[in-house]
Amino acid sequence: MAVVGRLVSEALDLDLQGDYKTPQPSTPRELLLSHFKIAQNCFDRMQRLVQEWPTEVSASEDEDSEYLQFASVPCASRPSKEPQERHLSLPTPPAGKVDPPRAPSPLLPQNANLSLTALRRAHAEEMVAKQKAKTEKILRARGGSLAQNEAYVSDLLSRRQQFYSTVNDKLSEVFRGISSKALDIKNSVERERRRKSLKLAVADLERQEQDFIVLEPILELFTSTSDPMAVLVREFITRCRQLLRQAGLERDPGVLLEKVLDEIIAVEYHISEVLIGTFEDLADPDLKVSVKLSVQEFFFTTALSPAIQSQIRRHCAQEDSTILDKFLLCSWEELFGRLNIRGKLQIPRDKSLDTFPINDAGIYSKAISELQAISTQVTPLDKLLCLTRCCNAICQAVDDARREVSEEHPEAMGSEDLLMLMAYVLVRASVPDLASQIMFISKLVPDELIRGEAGYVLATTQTAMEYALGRL
Amino acid sequence: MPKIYQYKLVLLGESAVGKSSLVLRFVKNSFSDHQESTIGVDKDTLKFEIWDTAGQERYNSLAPMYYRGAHAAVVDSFERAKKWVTELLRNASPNIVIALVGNKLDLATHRQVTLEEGQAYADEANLLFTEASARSGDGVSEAFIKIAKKLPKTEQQMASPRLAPDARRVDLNRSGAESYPTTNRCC
Repeated sequence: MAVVGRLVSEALDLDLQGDYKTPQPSTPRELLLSHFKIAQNCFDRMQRLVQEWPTEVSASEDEDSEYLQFASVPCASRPSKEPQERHLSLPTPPAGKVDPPRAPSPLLPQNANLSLTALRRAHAEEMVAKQKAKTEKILRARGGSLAQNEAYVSDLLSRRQQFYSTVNDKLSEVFRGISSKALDIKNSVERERRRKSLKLAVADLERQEQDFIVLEPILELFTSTSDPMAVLVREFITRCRQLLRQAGLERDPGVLLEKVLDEIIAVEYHISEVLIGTFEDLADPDLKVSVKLSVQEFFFTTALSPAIQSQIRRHCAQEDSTILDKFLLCSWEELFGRLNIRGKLQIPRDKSLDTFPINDAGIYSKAISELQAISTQVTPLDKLLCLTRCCNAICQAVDDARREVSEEHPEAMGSEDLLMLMAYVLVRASVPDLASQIMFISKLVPDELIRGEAGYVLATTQTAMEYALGRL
Repeated sequence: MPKIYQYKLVLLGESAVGKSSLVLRFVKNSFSDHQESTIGVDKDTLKFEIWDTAGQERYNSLAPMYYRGAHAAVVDSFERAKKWVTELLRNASPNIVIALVGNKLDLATHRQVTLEEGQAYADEANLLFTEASARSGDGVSEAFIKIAKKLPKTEQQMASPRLAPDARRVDLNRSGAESYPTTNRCC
């Protein structure tokens, strides 16, 4: 055992020095070392995961129902394609295969992260209002009394809500299971560590390597049923399990990150497809994005976001700090000149002051604060919405300022202007992990959104970031 | 039955060339950098997502984020057209339709490129060529309709179904799940 202890401490040293590389272990010693490394990595990863696990905080019923309402909002954005004929009945599952959607069980997700910010609520309300107006218009055009149509719309919405609560229910049950199991393991390992010496703990770790697959017991829960929801969760868990295994084997964090991101996208896609295949109600092409986003929102608000974000930050650490250094070091007085921003767009300068107000971004302050909110958001969509709101705030600010200066209809703002002003706002906002945030969004937001207006905003932000870097 | 197709169209040109005014004229009324517009061609409806782009001359190349996955491009500059076309063909959708539009037709006295020169260049590079004036509106919608007619109306461009995995996504087959639909996307 003394030998093992020495090897272990050597391994720790080597690991600390960061030069431990044994791609093909051939001698017993190397084999042992690599086993240790795997166990250690697994453990670290697990521990990280457990630490970052959102703590359970009781969320009020209110917040839950708001969450569900939000989840149901994008779904309402269906076009008019013969809605009445298609959706008169409840979503009927394929014969004999599916349990009909159940009413929400008392075990609604009680996760702190599910509560919503005011911004998101406002956005949801706006979407609802917009959609309602649109639907009413469409329905009126189709004929039928307004009362009938209203009843129809509210029926649709309530059914959608019921469906989402079922999905949320099942998935959150699974995640609570995972979370408590992970905690158990963490506690037991800590107990063991306290009780035994390091070498014994390491031996334990090796033995427990299988146990780190915390999802195994939950997997068993689902092997006996053919409920499609259970099947898809089972599939997701299988993939997670493989990932955890790989996490210990992968030495290049970049490669691992790509794998994890691919995995998440694949799982989200797959679950969305299963949902769409199961509930014909969701088969509408415009709804598919919403389903995807809802699935993504579920995973990110429940468990994924902190782990993924920290991985991405690790990956982009160098870039992030380079950007931040540059952004923080440049002088704001010169910024407009440096970024080549046209004189008439520099209106934010307070006309009564001779010097540029250092701590005041003038009319662009709203855009800056919208952008800074990106760090507090959890899901890729919410982060993307921060960028969108930031761009809108820029356009709005320029419009307002021009209207103040002259009564004429303001001259249109071109994409060049937006790019420069976005660069200005990026520098002023100095988001500490800008590159990571952009990577997070661009890797995880569904393609359908990337093609639309949100994609344009993302492209502008990315280009502006590079532009600012080149100019400073 | 009329179908709806959806395309991403990028506008390329130096800042003063007037690419923004071209779109403004095409979709008329209020300005926003990102515009959608529709054209009816042979009963079908073509929906354009028009992306005004920025920063080309500062980079000395195109900003790749803007033109990723574009189905059509309107190039506004004779000088740089050649370079951009190479870049577009390499990085955007393989069947991208590129139109070279000589703008500011109304400023005939300041004409820098003759109609024949423009046409010859466009033919050589296999581009569509039109002349237009955003100010007077002449030739603007003609330019877009020309593009619309040349765009491939394939299943992939149908506005629905839009959901398909791209190459970057992994296959769940490894775990025995049912297979993905294998669609080849151009973006």
